[in-house]
Amino acid sequence: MEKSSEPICLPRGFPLFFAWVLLLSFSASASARDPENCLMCHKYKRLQSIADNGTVRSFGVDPHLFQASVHQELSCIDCHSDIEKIPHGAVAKVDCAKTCHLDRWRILSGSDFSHREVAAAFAASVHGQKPNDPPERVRLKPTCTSCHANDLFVVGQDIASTSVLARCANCHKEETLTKVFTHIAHRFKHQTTRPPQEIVSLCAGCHEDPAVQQVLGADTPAAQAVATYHATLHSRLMQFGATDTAHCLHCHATSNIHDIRRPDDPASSVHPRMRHLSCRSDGCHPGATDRIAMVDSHISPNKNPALLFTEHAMQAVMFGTLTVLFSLMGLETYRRIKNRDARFFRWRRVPQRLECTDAISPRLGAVPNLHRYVTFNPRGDLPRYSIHIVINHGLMALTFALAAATGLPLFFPHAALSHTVIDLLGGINTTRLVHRINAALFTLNCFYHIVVLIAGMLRRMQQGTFDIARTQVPRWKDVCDLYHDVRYFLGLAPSRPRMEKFMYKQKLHYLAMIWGCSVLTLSGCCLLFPEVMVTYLPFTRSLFNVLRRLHGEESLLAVLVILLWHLYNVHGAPGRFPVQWTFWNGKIAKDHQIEEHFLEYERQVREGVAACEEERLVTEKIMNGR
Amino acid sequence: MADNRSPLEALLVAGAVIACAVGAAWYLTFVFPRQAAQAPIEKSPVRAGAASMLHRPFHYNTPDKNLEAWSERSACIICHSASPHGKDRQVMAVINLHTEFLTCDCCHLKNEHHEKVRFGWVRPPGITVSGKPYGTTIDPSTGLFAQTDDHYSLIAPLHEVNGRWEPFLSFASEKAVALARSYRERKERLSADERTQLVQEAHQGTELKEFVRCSQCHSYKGIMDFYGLGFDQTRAHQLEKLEVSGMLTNYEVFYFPELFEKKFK
Ligand code: HEC
Ligand code: HEC
Ligand code: HEC
Repeated sequence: MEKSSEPICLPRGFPLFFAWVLLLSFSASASARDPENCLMCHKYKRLQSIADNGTVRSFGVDPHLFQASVHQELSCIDCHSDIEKIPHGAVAKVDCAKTCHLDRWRILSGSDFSHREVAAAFAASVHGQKPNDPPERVRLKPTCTSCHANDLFVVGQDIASTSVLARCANCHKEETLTKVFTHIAHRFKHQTTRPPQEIVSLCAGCHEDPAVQQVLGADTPAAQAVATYHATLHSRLMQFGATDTAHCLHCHATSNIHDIRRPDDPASSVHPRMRHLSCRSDGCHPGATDRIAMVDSHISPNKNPALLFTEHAMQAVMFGTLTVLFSLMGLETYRRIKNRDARFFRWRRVPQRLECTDAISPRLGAVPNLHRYVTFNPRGDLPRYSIHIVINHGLMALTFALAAATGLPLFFPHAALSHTVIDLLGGINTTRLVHRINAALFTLNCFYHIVVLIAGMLRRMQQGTFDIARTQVPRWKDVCDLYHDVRYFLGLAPSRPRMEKFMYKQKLHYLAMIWGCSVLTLSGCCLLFPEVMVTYLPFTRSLFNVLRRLHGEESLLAVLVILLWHLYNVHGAPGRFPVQWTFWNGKIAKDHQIEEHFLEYERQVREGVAACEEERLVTEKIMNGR
Repeated sequence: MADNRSPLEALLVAGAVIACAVGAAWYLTFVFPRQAAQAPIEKSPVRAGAASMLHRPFHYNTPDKNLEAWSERSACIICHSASPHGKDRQVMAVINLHTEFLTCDCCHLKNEHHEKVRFGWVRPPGITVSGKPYGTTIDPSTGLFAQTDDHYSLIAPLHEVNGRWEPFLSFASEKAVALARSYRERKERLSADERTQLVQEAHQGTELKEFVRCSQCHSYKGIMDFYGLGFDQTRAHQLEKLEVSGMLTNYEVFYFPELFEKKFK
């Protein structure tokens, strides 16, 4: 053994070098096992023949890969056993189930080695050929080599094989021991040597093939299995490189791997009565009960029409919402620019002069479009939110942004950007953890907000100052305000409506948030605690998957609304740019309060919190002698 | 500041704004998510690593760099492909394996040229290498061909032209390549006579019936000086005696390379 030459970390793209170094490290005899010298000819890639139909067939064997493969111990004729002379003609197909007379194996288990049992399980599985299979089915059925292509024999780098072995070698000098040790270590480390991504693409290779789908019955769930798998979280996580997620074999086979059977076969690992055992295996979902069989582990609209409905409904909602919001945004922008209600940059705003023709009564509300004439402190003049609400908002913004960044990529697993984001955030496993902790914080914040609301309400009721008009509860007046406002935006009304502390925009937004937070929390639970949720959720069969689906759809909608509408209203609208400080100190600027929450301003004047601007304006005007 | 009320303006503005809004909403609801969902799977490092080397069969076609370099530069390959031998089923693959290392006229050169020929390496223009040609040296630690960056050089018969050793014109000269290409492109449209004429032209200097025998090269006094060509000792030795020791001891029926010899002696 060469101890120090074992590489710690190998750069990608040097596979042959990799194989070669491994070989040096683990095998005493370096050259390929080829007593018959078959490689004399077969090492050449141009060892090619041309079939009668003109196709070129290559008989080349890459000796480097052969030396490093799991079958490195065998010589060519161990498998191609019908070759007896050179040069040979056509060679029979290799039978993988034959017995190999491996001395090393005999030492270990006392008998000859064979893949016989696996072959038997395979023959009994859906993939094995059955006597009554029609020919088109037979043609499509896989054989051993459809999936297995002679993997390289790799020993996990993190097993200190050489140092462990150095001890053993004090007494055991046999090369066999080294081989047996590394063989077992290799299995311990690699439950399967293939990454889940490769398993899925292997199965998909046939199951996505239209020819196979046709034989399976084009629109059956079986024919769409790959697509409906890719809609699941299992697949999405896997596509970002997660290794602790379920690929096809995890569910469809037991540890035997080859005993894949039809779901209605009682011996199948996905038979409704067995399914929860598969979910529990490998410690994936230890709490799974047989109720888990109620939900479809593929997200297939064929089995659950509610899914399709949800998808369409969400699209309709999204389209409707965005259309309305965009229209409002456009109209408002148009009017604000046209009326020069304000300069685009907030800091450039100068109060307009009240013209002589304008009304000069110092009464509250006597000056139309009062907001144009008032001076204000850009950092805010009048109290609007308590510190609790400011904290609520801050936490919400933070957790929402983080949730979107860590979650949305899973909704778009094909987009390059998604992969960049996940890689930037430290890989899928970190991202998942962050998303969950963040979700807990998000939910806590919601509860905090509810407590704040209830406490505030109780206090006001006690003081007798509770007024439903000042809350977020929608009222008929909001509809009228909206109508009025649209007329104003279109130039059909002289001024904006007099609105309450929360105008129609805020109520719309707030209601949407209540809906969104509830859906996201509930559906998040379905994703995070599937075992628990299938037990307690009503209408599990259809609702469970619908909710899981909704998690993504709803967050996409929320992100769009926040990004486009909320940011517009708060930061982007002409005259509001770049920022209002309400989120920071809970105060609103005077002009803004008067423009969009006139009734609140009125109330504040009556309560003595705010000065009466009309009075000030009129006095100023008289004093200046205008 | 004029809130001049013009229903026409209102109508126009409303129409324009709503149309834009519908368009944007449509895009964001129906077009954008679908595009994002169908975007080509940009392979993240994780994904690219998934189709790892771990699971690669050894019965497979290694990328043939040599062919990539020569496929459009050798007149013979343009017309015949790099695996041109198909007549004799039992030996064709073995003859084909040579085309990775030898130009066709090593074996197909007209007898009359043999006297004035000497073998040397040719490389496609524009390719620079630092190692020795692939297949000439054995890595003693593996017993396999040593790794190198030269997968391009071919052994070719050279003859003296104005004091310089150059390959024969029929093989890779610009004229020969142009002729081969035009034949390939216009094949279907040519008359039988034109075809014969072109093919004859292409084969000038090429022997079509008599070949260099296996043993003329694979023997101790062969026409190829393997040492001189840069083959290391082990390799030259293997080629000279076509190493058969393993076969002798392991096969009951052994007639290699007699089969070749009988036929091509
Ligand atoms: C223009 C295309 C073309 C080029 C270039 C060409 N060949 Fe051919 N070659 C042919 C065709 C077509 C035939 C078949 C002729 C026939 O069947 O009569 C052929 C036949 C042959 C034969 C077999 C003759 C037989 O009787 O079986 C040999 C050997 C051969 N070519 C070698 C070469 C070599 C070596 C080169 C490169 C120097 C070469 N060819 C270049 C088109 C070409
Ligand atoms: C190692 C020597 C060798 C090299 C190199 C070689 N040939 Fe041949 N070639 C032969 C022999 C020997 C035959 C006769 C085979 C037979 O009769 O079965 C032959 C026959 C042919 C034939 C007749 C068809 C056939 O199937 O036998 C063609 C065409 C041909 N060669 C083309 C080429 C071309 C093109 C190249 C270069 C890419 C080439 N050869 C390189 C040895 C060689
Ligand atoms: C023009 C000279 C030449 C002729 C003729 C020739 N060979 Fe070769 N052969 C070579 C060279 C050169 C190589 C080595 C290529 C390399 O690996 O670089 C080779 C390699 C081989 C090898 C692989 C040997 C090894 O150890 O890698 C075999 C087998 C072989 N030839 C068989 C034949 C047979 C059979 C014939 C007759 C049909 C034949 N050769 C004709 C030059 C020739």
